Amino acid sequence: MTDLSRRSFLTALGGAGLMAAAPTSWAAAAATATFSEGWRLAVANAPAEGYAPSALTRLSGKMPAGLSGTLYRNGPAWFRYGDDTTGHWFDGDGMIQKYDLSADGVRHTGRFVDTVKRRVEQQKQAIVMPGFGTKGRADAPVTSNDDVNAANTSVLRAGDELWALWEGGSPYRLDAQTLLTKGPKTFRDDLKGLAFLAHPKVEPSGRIWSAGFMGDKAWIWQLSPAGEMERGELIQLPAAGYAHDWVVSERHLILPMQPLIAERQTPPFVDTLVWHPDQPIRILVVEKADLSKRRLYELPAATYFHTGDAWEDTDGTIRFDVCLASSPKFGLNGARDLVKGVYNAGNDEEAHLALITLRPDGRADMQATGVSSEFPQTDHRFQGLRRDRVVHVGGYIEGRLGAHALSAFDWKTGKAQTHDFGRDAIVEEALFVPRPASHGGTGQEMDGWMVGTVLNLKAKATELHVFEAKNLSAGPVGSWRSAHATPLGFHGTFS
Amino acid sequence: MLKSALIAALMGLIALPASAETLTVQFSKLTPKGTLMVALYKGEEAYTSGKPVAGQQVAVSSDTATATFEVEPGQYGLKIFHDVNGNGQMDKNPFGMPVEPFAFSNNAKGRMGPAAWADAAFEVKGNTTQDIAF
Repeated sequence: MTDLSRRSFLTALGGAGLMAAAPTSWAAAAATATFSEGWRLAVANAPAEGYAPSALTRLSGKMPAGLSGTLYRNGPAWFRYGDDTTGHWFDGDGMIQKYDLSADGVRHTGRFVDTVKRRVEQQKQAIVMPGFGTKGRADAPVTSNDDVNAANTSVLRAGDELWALWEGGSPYRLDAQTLLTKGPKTFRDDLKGLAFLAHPKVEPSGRIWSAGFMGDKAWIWQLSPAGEMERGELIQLPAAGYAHDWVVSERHLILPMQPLIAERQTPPFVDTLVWHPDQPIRILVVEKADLSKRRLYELPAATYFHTGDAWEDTDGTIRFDVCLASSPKFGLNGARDLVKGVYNAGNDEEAHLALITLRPDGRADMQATGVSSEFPQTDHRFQGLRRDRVVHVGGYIEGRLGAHALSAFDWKTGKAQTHDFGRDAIVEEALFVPRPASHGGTGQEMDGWMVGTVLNLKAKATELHVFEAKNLSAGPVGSWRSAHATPLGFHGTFS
Repeated sequence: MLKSALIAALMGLIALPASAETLTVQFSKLTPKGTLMVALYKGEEAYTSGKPVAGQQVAVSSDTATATFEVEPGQYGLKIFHDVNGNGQMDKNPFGMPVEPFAFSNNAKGRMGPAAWADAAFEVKGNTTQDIAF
């Protein structure tokens, strides 16, 4: 990477994060926090018994012909027992929201994942277990990773099951219809409790790739479309850099290890991470067919939560989109304060869309767009293959929590589209759903819809919106409003 | 000779043999297969450094099992793992985390490791029973 491109990258990131200073008294704010008001709805406890099935109210438009199926979303939805609060947004108990879309409209139900962690804490009515950012009590009964597994980050359909994913332990198996929990998935007796990312990648063939990280080692999972293990191997990493997501191309696994390095093993995990802005992102590229065949690339320090997807040019050049930020302060600090009812804009760190290119001769470079971006999504039919478009949330407003717009970026034309939901909306991840051939679907990239949810703070309700995927600027073609304001979720799947 | 020794003991003239007390360890909630590997430690230093004073292997054929030890009075701790597949080892996953059940005296729980001595220590004074649930 040249100095010039490095400078332009830093310039693109420069405007972000220079926001208001910390509030004078967080403790005072926390003591008076009302979680049924304003942005704190995002981190309010959901009903312990879940959400009973209910129909959403149609706001405008209609369900497009050919669009039917279920949107499953996962996210932390239980954070406190009285004043006893979890140590981090990422440690809330996982809850699955299920939205059934049909010609009749949208129906919703939701249920907590019945984890060991949740059982222990509900029984004691206290925060007990250690976690990503929670120290946990000295008497926390922890015998394996799955005892602290919050199952709160994403979902994957595997065969007939729905898996609730965390990143430090096993997938939790659920009945896809009732959302009742069956227990952790054990792929093999000697692999019990092994980490499994919340960002598995599913090839067009249905084959599933995932990884698990522990220090400077990664376990690579290769699963059948039904979720059974085909292959597993331990690989050595160039550093113990934290990775929440990765990318997979047609022939390669690509692991960007950010210079946010785990340097101890005592919980909470987030306190073991040390940010090294003087160190590069080390991007390890591993051949799917032979995990011993590797290349290592380096780019200047940056941090990320989420990638889009990767593809390879005919000459072997690998490209992938990623949402990069210049410091990890939101994950390390900002997300801890939220659950206390404190939003400190100074601990926000806006991420921007970038395209990373890894060339066969060992050179790497980064094309920064300056477009604020998170939760990137692509047309999954092109997973690992050449494509142009990425859809993401964005439209951040200084001093307001979360994203306010749904946007698209085209790498070929450099053109962006956006729909702004306004300052009272927090926009969640939207997923691509292809238009079926029976309804004129062409199979072309992004021929279909984006389906996503928005927490409307003014209406105190979660909404579901459907867009034509190629025409976000036109606004939703159908919008529905739930009877509930569900806590902000992270990731979902549509099936 | 035996009788005179006993009388001498009762009169406090000589010490009783060291293994005077019976420690009974009752296990429950077991998967009915494999073997329990039971290690008994006397005192904190032995417990922490992993030097057992006695060890037993108990075949598991139902959801309960029992081990007994003849020991002198004192402070003890137990570390047990259930060798479910009978390979003689405590199996671990590739990240080094145990994948076979384990337990400690007092049903003490470890936190990312073995239970602390302070939580696992118990006194043997007269015949003593430990109930340990897996």
